[in-house]
Amino acid sequence: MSVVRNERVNIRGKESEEGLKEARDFLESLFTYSVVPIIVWDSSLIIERINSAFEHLTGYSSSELIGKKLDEVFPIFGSRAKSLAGEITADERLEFEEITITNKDGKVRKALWNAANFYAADGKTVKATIAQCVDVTEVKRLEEETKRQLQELIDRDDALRLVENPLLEVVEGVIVLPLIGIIDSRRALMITETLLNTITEKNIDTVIIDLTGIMSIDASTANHLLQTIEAVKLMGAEAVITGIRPDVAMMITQLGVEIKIAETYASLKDGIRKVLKTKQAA
Amino acid sequence: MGQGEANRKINIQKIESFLLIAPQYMIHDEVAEGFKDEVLEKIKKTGVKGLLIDLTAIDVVDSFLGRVINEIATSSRLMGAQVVVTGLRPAVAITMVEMGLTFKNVEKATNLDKGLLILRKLMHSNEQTKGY
Amino acid sequence: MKLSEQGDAFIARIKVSDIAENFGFNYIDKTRIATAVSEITRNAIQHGGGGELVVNQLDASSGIEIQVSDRGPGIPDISRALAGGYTTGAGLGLGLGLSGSKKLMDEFEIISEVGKGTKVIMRKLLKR
Repeated sequence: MSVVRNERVNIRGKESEEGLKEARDFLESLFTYSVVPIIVWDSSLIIERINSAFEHLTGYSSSELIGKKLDEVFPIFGSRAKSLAGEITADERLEFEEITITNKDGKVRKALWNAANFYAADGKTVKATIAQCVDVTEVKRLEEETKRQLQELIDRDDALRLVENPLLEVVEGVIVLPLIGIIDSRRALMITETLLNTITEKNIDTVIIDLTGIMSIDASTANHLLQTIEAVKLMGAEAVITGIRPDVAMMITQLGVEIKIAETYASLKDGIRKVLKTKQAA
Repeated sequence: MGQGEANRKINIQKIESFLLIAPQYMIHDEVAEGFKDEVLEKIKKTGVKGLLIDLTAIDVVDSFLGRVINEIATSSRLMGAQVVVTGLRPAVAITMVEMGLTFKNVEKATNLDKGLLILRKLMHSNEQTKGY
Repeated sequence: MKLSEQGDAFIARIKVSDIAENFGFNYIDKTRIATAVSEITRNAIQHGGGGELVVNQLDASSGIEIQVSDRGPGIPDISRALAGGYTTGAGLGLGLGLSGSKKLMDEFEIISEVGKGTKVIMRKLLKR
């Protein structure tokens, strides 16, 4: 901040001159060193002034810009600037309009622009327009990125449900359904639905449900498993259960649920082997 | 709205040495009962040793229809015929299991071809055990 | 709609199935609803002497409500009927249909008075 010296100078002319000069210097510094990109163009869209922040934003130096037509260097911005002149009046300014500006490298920056006109003494003729902006490219990018990630999470949740419990056809007519982790009732229903539909679509005659990935089981999941097995058998396919861990086995017996209606094997490998043998014999 | 004469038509076809029942229309109660008698009559008349019930076209099996099918199966078995049920839809299977319904005294198969295979085997082995 | 003849249970089932589809129920839920409707309307016709079926949509399109009422003999012991072991001499009869339907639906109420009649209200909620 420059200090205006409150000195009474004898000659009035000198005082005003000095004051003016100081004021002008002050404004010059403000303009030049402002962090906000500022550009001034005249009524025929010729670029009059820019500051270093603008050089920084666009990658052009003042010598490259001053004297050039605005819409030649910046087509998009320039065309908007053309229409601006008519829109801005003495009382109205342009505030926070998003206009893109392409810099020297061809990169597009998104910015929020303010603009105002300088008028001639008559108050009506536009002498020049001054515009400043805030570069919001990064902010917008982050916004879009966040939106995208959110959508991805939503999509992935749906996809996970398919991926986590894939049905693998090991041999013609035999599929393995590996169950993993905790299965809530909604997912359980989806799994059963997919399983039974696959039986119809692919002419499956044996389903191997592998519980190796199940660490613990509660009453409703156990019941659901039982119902799934029953439905499989009702449709005419065989159900084989493999990979029941000891603690899971205990929980199932404690719950009183009988999975006797299906053959069980300790390991998935054994189950597959037995099924293949049976198929060959048939 | 009439009872729907069209609904009365349930095909019972004799194929080779067995009967194929494939309800094309949704069966309503009155029809189902009469149908049962018809089937048993035909088994008696033709002396077939096998019955294939295809439920592909059935969208709902409730306790009534379940009972009828079970009764057909049990009676047929008593008359010396093997019974195989095929084509049960996934949604129907789940619903039946949730309700506590099941088919007793029948073999089940996922589709008609498999059902035929099973039926033939059953009929064959049945003859064998009866053989001398 | 009115339930009076044997064929009506079938018609009721189809109608409700269509409504359920319009409400947005998936295929399996439609099957569950249709099966429950078939059971309950049959009871009303065969044991209740005929009655009425009313279908409503739940608040905020959250599901379907089906009411079946008759002016029949009523059910003396509702809890026994629901336990599934109730036969009135017609084979599987009342028992399995009632208890089975309850398992298929999300909400299930029976109001019955001996000599006056029976009303069954069942609801299924749309998932997601």
